[in-house]
Amino acid sequence: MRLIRGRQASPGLAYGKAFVLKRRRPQDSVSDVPAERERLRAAIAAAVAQLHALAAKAPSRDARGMLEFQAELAKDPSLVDSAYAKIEQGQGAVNAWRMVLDAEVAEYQQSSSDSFRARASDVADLRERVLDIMLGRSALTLPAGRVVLADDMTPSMFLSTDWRRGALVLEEGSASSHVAMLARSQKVPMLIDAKWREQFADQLCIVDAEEGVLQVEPDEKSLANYRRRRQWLARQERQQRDGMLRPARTACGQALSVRANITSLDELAGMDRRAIDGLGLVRTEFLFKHGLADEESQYQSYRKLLKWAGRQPVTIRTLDAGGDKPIPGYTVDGESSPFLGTRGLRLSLRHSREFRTQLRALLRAAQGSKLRILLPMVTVPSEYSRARRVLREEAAKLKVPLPPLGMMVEVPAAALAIEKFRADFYAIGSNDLLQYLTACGRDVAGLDELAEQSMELLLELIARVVAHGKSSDAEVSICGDLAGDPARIPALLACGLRSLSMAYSRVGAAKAAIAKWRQMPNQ
Amino acid sequence: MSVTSADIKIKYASGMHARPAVAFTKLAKTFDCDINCIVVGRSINFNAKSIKQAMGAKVRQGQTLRIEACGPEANVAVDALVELVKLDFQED
Repeated sequence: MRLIRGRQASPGLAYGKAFVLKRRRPQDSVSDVPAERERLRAAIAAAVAQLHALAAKAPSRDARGMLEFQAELAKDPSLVDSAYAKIEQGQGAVNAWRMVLDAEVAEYQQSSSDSFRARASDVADLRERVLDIMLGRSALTLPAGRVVLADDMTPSMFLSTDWRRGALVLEEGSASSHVAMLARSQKVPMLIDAKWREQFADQLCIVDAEEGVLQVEPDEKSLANYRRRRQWLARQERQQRDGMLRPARTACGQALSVRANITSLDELAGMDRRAIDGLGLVRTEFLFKHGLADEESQYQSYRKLLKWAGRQPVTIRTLDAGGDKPIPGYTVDGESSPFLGTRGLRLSLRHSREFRTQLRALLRAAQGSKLRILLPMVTVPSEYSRARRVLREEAAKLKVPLPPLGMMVEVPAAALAIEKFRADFYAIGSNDLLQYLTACGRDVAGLDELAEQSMELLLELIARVVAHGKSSDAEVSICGDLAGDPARIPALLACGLRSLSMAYSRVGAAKAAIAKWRQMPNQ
Repeated sequence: MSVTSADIKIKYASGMHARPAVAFTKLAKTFDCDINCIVVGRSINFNAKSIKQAMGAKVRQGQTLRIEACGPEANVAVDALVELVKLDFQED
């Protein structure tokens, strides 16, 4: 038996045969120049044919456009001639292609414009498609239900795999990557930073993500242990499902509110209203997917949401565009650091017409419900006051009552000066707050440790916001990933938070963690 | 051989990103002539038949494109490309 250590990117337990995914940087055997030229030419021609065939049956205009772009690029002498030139200089076809395409990907990644930068993944897709053909790994589908060992994985490969009873073990990767997020939502156990070996192929493995280990060819004792843990996890899951409908209470009987975050109306269909105490964060970006939305269509969507919630509170956040969520014709194009740019409320205050449209739609839809309006990316008190003035004006025009107006606490400047704010309620966005606090981008691999070590500091800031909420009689809630993480919940409750909002899928586990928590006398 | 040329302003909101650039270069490739584009005021030029170069120019909304063609089909090529830009690359 061998024990390989890694880190958890998605919880769970799996047992199965290992499947080793060929490394993306294999040793390549190189023959003479004409043969390598021909190898590249044939691979590009095959890739172009594949792309045209895929484009012809693409489900949407966007998908077709992406495939056509890749096909055109593969046919462009400006690009491929550089690869042929590298072959003339003695490179193998594989290396030549990779070097040229890596440089091209980097050029797109460095672009200051979001719409150009987003194309980097298309160029990378083309690079992989041609490499797959040259290295004979084309049309690779992963077998179902296996423990997949890979150096890294693309989201598209993850999505095309049947992961039931399977698990993923990566040599690299990051817990905040897109693939890790997919693994968590599909409940696929996943380890990162695990240095597996090629010879593990087809050997039986246990992946214990909770413990952060990969066991190869486990002995009887480990297998018995695995079976015990599996039963225990299954029992826990069942209990969580049952516990979901019970009100959230701590071990000393204190009632808490547990609410759900949603990003689209479709999510409501899979939710049981009795399991939650309302919606703690409704992101409205989904309404603006195809550009700016008019008042009537926004009103209809808000109405639907509020009707679903009945008498439960619903916190709707005004448009948080910018950052990684550009809207053509609205967000500022070509900012060098979009996450530090004109986003969220900064944009709303600049485009007051669109802001007023959204507020009007909200105010009209609010009648007879418990709507609360939340402002994203507030940095200084004057921004909050300006937004409040606009809301008051619109409410007066419509002759409707003023709903509570709250603010996200996600910028360190706002968290540190929270005593200067007079909002009706506060919602802590722990993901952005941690990202801005530590200057660690959320999707950057290898920085998890820095963020982890700054957790105490983040909790200090949270406690500060909670204290201000208490003294000014305003509710403080938290709606980042931390709120739905059972391992973090005790620390959040110890900070004084009594309102948590999370993805609906986390509610059961969160309530179970809350039920175990007991307030210490000094808290 | 003489050069035919025309200036046209990009009105399309996202500029000449992937889909518009594909439409532009695909159309350019159907003509028997050399076509060079200049992004006016940015001293950037690119071959209208190369998607790599067209994307690399990162042409944004509000910028003006000077399309210069030289060859047997130069006139009709410039007209057709100007028309395509006017129609916002036939997006939507």
